[in-house]
Amino acid sequence: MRVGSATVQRGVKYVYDELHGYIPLNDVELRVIDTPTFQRLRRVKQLAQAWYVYPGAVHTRFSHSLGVMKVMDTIATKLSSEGLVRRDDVELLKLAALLHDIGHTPYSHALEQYFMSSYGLRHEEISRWVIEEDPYISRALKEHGYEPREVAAVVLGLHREVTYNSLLSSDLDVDRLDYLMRDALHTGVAYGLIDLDRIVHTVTVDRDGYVAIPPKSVQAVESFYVARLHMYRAVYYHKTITGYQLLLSNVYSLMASDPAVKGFVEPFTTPEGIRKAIRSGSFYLWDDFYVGGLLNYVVSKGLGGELARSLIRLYLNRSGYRAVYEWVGFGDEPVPEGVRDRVRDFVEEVGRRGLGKYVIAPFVEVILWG
Amino acid sequence: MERRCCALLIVKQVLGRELRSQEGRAAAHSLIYLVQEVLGVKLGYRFRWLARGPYSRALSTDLRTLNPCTCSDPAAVELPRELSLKLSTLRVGLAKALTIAASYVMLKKDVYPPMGDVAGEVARRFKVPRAVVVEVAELLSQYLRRAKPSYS
Repeated sequence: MRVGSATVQRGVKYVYDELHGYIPLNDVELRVIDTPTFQRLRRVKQLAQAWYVYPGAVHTRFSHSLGVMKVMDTIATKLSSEGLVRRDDVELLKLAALLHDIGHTPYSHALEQYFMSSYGLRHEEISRWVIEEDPYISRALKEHGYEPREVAAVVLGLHREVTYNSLLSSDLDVDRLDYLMRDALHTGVAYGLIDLDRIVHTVTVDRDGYVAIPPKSVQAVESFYVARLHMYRAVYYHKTITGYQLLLSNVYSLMASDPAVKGFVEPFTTPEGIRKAIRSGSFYLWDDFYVGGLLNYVVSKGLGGELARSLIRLYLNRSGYRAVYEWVGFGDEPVPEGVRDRVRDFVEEVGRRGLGKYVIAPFVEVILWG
Repeated sequence: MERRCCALLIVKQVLGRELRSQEGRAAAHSLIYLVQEVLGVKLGYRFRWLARGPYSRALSTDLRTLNPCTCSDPAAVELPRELSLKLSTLRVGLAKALTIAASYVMLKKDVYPPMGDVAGEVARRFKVPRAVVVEVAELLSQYLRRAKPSYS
């Protein structure tokens, strides 16, 4: 039996994905997907606050993770048939792809900003803890003969096979190949489309072990880079979306330090608290609903300080931060001297006028192309 | 930002013109890897294991886009400069010695599954005799015993 371009096999379960069509799932993949910790990804939006600008951008880390596994399957199977990846490791790579975002905080990068600035904690480190220490995930992997530490090594780019590391994280990796297409589909940003089939069916590995493409696919990859540029400008660093992410990050910071509220946020306020929750099997509770529900609860019960409640109201009513200064540059040149100074001066001026640090949220991001 | 300014300063002081070559740029990642993971200066970079040794995407961005900025921690600069002076006496040259040293440490410390013959793997990957890798590892170890007695 054939469905679309995929052959459907008896005894294998399928899930329909809006981007890739039917995705086959074997026993170990199903076992991982059925854990409470993986199901949590159904309740973590892929694009945090992007729906404030693109109402359709409400897809989740769950569908993205399945999609990344599908792209990895296609590429790893091809490379395996050419002797560039060990046949036995194709499933290892698929599991790493499936679990690569398992440690994302609620609202993806919005809350990650709080943990990054407060503790230097990134979601990759949380993913490592989840894969190695979460009882559901680690047990599911071990039961099928996969070592959690090896899966985590691929996710973190620390596997001894450099090809595996570059398949999951490089300029042309399976993560980006899925999210650019998926995010373009859900936002409706037409410039994000790429020739995915061309890339995944011609990708190879160079003699150093890096992911590479043959000359015949150069145009497809150029179009991928152009799409990436457009998506960063139109979606990932859109000024309004970035503003709401900063607003939520500030709200979370206030709630985590407010004696009247922090009891509701704990243990998800520090790296130690998160790790403890992972080890005790309660990490799956920390999702968009948990944080979103808490925002409503704090306002409805009048808990904590007025500042946090005011910011939450602004967030809920889409009356958040407005961009007062924006500078976008291209090329490899350093950020011009005056830009960072201008941002710093403005923040100081706001402070002098008696407005607190939660009124203005400076944001400087540098993205390297290629 | 301050810590990253220190990273930038370290790289510029130690590698200077070598940064123009691909080998020099790879060595910059190795140098900062050693500074952070071995000398214990917290710079906040996350490194992955790639064909030319440790690599950090954020460091790559910083090296290409940060303006010259101030690093007020002399120790952050002094230790790596001392180590690099030692490594520069080796016959393979400073850039390659840094890459060999960092790759050796990373394969021993961070990379999984573990490799049986780390020195042999580094030698094969960077096309140098195994004896050179052993020499670099021994020099690094001697330096660390003196500079950081707590390091094992």
